[in-house]
Amino acid sequence: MNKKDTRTEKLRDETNELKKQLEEANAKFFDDLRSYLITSGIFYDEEDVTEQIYNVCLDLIEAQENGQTAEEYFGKDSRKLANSMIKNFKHAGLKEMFNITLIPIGIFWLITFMSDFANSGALKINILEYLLMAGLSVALTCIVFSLVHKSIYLSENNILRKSKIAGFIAGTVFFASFLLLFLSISLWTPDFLTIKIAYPYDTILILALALVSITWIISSKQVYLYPITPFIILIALVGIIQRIPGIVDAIGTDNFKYLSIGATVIGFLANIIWSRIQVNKLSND
Amino acid sequence: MSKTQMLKGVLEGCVLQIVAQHETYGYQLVQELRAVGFTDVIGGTIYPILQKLEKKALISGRMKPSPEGPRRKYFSITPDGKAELTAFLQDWQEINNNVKRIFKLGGKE
Repeated sequence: MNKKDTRTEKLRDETNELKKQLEEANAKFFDDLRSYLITSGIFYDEEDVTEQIYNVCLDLIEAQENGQTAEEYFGKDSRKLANSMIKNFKHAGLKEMFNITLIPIGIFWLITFMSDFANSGALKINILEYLLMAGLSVALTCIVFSLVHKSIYLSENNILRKSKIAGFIAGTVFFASFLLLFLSISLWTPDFLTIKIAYPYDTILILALALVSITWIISSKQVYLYPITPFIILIALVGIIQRIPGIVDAIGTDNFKYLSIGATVIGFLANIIWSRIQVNKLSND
Repeated sequence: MSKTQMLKGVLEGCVLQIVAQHETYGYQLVQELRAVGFTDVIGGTIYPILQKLEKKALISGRMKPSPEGPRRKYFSITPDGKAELTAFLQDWQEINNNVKRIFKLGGKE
């Protein structure tokens, strides 16, 4: 984590601590405002946005101490006022933009790569598929940010706010469309740009990529990605084992199939359980 | 024309003037503006002005400890800000005089 990231994280932690001083209604006002500002875009300078939020929180506390509500101090039309703040946010630098897009692209590539190396035979990397996945990952991140952003100050009459069923249907349609797109890219991308990597280079590559991704997740403290690490380890192990000559024969083809399925299920369950624990911890904080 | 629209351009100059007098932060600034009569001014209006002035390098912000404890962002005027303030004062005086003259001639003052 670089100095700027450390400063940003410190500000974020301090804001969370300060927020505890706000009364319920003021805290709700602040939470909505904060979520609205944070989800305004992925290409804003994160430190600038976090610093603005931190200072607004301090000012709201001072206003509260002087008998003013958050709405009285900040203004009733929070959406319009927040939009004026967003217009003046600093944009992230090119390097920062690159780093921001690297996270969703990295996750999607890792998933694609894991499904590639779980297949038997020489490792095949379809370059076009990886490029399309990169596009899909960035588009999905931007769309999710935009949807969350727009949902914060939805009017009381909006159907998504009024009906839980409408919200559920909209969410299901959105994720089903995304899944359909993801699977379409995985299954039907033409393979005219495919690289074949034979043993032992495929095994070395799997091991290297698994090690690099896990080292990056841990060293850069990407806490939200911790739950995916058991999945990476298990799938990498399956990929490596099945490529080492003689091992699958020794275990038995059927047994190995069960082992692969078991590893995938365990990795997936570990991911869900760990994510759930993280979400609960965040909610309690 | 609404009061808010009339105030828009003037407020930037007023914020710059207060920041020129002493280092200050968002909440304090709002209180000072309210104390002189801008009772409708709210935090939501002031933050974008401070951001804009900082972006234009007319003011600069730095995080420093506040008397209440936690560090917060204090703003001070820059040399460019001082020049802008002088220009604003001249423009304001000119507009003010012209408006006064018109209303005196019209007998509405």
